Amino acid sequence: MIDDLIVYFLREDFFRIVVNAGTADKDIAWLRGLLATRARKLSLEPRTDLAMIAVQGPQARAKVWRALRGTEAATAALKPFVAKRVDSEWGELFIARTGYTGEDGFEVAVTGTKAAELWRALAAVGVRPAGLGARDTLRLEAGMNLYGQDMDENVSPLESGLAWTVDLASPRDFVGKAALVDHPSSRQLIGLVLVDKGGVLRAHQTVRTDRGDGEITSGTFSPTLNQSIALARLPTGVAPGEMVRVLVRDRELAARVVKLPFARNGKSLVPPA
Amino acid sequence: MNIPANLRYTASHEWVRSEADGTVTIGITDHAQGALGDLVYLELPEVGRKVAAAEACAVVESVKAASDIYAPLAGEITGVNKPVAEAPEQVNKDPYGAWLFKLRPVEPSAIANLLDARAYEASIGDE
Repeated sequence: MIDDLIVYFLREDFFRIVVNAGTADKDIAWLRGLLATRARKLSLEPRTDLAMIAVQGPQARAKVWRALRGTEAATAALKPFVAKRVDSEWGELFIARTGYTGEDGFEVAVTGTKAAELWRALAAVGVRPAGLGARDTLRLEAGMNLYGQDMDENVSPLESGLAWTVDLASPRDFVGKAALVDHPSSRQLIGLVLVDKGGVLRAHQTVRTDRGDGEITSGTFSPTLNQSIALARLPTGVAPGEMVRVLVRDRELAARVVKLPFARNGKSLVPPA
Repeated sequence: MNIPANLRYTASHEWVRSEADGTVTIGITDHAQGALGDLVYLELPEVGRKVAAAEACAVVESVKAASDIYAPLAGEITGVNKPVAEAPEQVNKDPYGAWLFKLRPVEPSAIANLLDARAYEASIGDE
């Protein structure tokens, strides 16, 4: 996998792609290579002039509409994963009903020179800044992968919980489809909750299952579940509800395999043991 | 920064209190709990265990990181704070009240070699 990203449909002939900042150069080079050989009529324009602010939570959309006057009418009916461009006093805003938290909300792109003003307008209606620690527990609770940690160029989407993004069943061909068809995966990315006391699940800890060993790719202590959770790459066939053992420091601790996500909208989705 | 003057300290952020019965009580400093963030797990040593000075004998774990706790002095573990092990967040709330373990030092005079409050404050000034 080169990256995981979002493509927003704006028109039949116009899409916006939001990529990971850390892989942007690599992504652009890859896409430009494809355009040159397969789609010469398309052009790719990196928008390094734009900044993006994510506002997340049950009140997020209402707060955005209060802070950014004039945006409500155009965006009130936006469904999840859909975006719209809206004119405003800060210039054109790109408002998308997406996020990296498992909560409702908007991601708002604005011209970079106006980002601080937009931030202050949101703060003025009570939107609070959140840091990377909060972002990491939220995204992990929501079962969302982090590129570079849960997957990299050495794994396929099929072993990363992302089979839903690469539809092998559809008759449509796409770049990489043949490779995926030829290489079904023997591993899966799935959730773990720590059952034994003894620490916190963390990346690179070995997981022992009845079908062989696996590894945790991301782990943390979940504030919503009040227990440690992790994403782990395990042999296929290990199923939700089964118990596995994780090597934490020098001890084997029991953990339970669970379906993702662990939580949505602040509520745990993990069935009790 | 809260650094009580009546305690001794180590460069690895343990505080040490001398008790009347010759044992010492040990915990982690306000600076340490702040740097670690919310604690979610504590592993304390077994009572009766003999430890060397600077030997890792306990573990505190927060959302961010796990950290070893080191015996400030050589000696024998005489007590552990079980209620705090069940409620690690107490260490964040009250780092000098939520002690972790007690030990009887082999050499009581060695306590004088530990950092005093001013020296500890200077040591964390560089961090």
